[in-house]
Amino acid sequence: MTGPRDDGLAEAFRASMPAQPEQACPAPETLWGAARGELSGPELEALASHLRTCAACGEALAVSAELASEAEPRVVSLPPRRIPRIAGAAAGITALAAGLLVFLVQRAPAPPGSGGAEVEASRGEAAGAAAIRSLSTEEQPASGARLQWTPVDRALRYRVQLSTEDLHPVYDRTVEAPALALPLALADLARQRSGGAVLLWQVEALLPDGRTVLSPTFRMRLVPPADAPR
Amino acid sequence: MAAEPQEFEALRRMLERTVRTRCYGLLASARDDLVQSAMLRILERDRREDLARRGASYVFKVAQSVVVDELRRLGRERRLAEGVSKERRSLVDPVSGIQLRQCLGRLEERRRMAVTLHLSGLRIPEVARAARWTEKTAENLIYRGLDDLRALLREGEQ
Repeated sequence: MTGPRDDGLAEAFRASMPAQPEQACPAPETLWGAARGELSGPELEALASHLRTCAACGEALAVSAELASEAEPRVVSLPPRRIPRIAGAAAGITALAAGLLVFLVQRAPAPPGSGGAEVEASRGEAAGAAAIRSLSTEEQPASGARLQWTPVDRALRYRVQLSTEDLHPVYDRTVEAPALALPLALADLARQRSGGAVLLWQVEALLPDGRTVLSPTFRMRLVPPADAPR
Repeated sequence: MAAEPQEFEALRRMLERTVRTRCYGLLASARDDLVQSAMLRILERDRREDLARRGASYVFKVAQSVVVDELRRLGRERRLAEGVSKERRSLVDPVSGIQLRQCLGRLEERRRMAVTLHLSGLRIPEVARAARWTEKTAENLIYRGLDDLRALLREGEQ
């Protein structure tokens, strides 16, 4: 589980459950509603009360939350991580935003032989950005699309951000491996546009000392299933 | 027209990843069975309802529903097996368990909600979304709630 250190409290919490929950388990629709923030205060309180006696529903809610986030890919505000522990991350995020803005006005064609088309952008920072190169193909079927990039030595995590060409953010995910399978829900974007959807993506690698390495911005096209090469 | 095979393959991979990272209580073989059963039920639904036509959001809702059902089915089977062997019960200290839940019950309302959701397996953005808080608020409530919970548990030990 990512987030605060809980000193084994989560494990102790799961082990503390009585043999039988104190109330009947909620319907899957209730868990789906909770994961999407659709329950009223009293409904959520009733669910939380049940979760204190039913580990199985905790697991089911966690699965529901994961699927709900896959169902509606959106980039959210920059995550409120405990940035002070990660010196330099704020500068990296600022540069990322600056980079995303720059490629609106300054696009260059893909270098021959490269994977995803690289969009040149001068962002006045990003030392080491050249170290990250795209290893995925520029055009991919909307379902089963996968981004891959060259690993950064000693990187702990990679944050990947995707946006549309007009810089509307559509997906934001942090992974440990230098690859990311894109969610099925992005296929909807490709279906909405004839010829598929062009997306811009960028990777930010987080190093153990808190420094970050930004990739250039890459371009990819998601092709709807009917147009995808078989 | 039903969904494309590659879409189901992508869905299967995503379910495998979700079940692997979120279902702590399941053995690897049980996780495989769960995903397999869930996919079969999704395919049945697809034959009846043409899921692709209804959009990705609906597909994920169906996937969530069948995975939750399968998790509960496995849970019932697991409890039956435990009822016979009694092995799990001997691993849990009932006094500590009751104490933990009592301490949790003494937390301030919003911190109790945040900590309950977090200990149940939700990440900070997911807690924020469920409770309709900002991520910063959710993070603060979780951190402070966990600190309070630790303090109450320490008090109980003295």
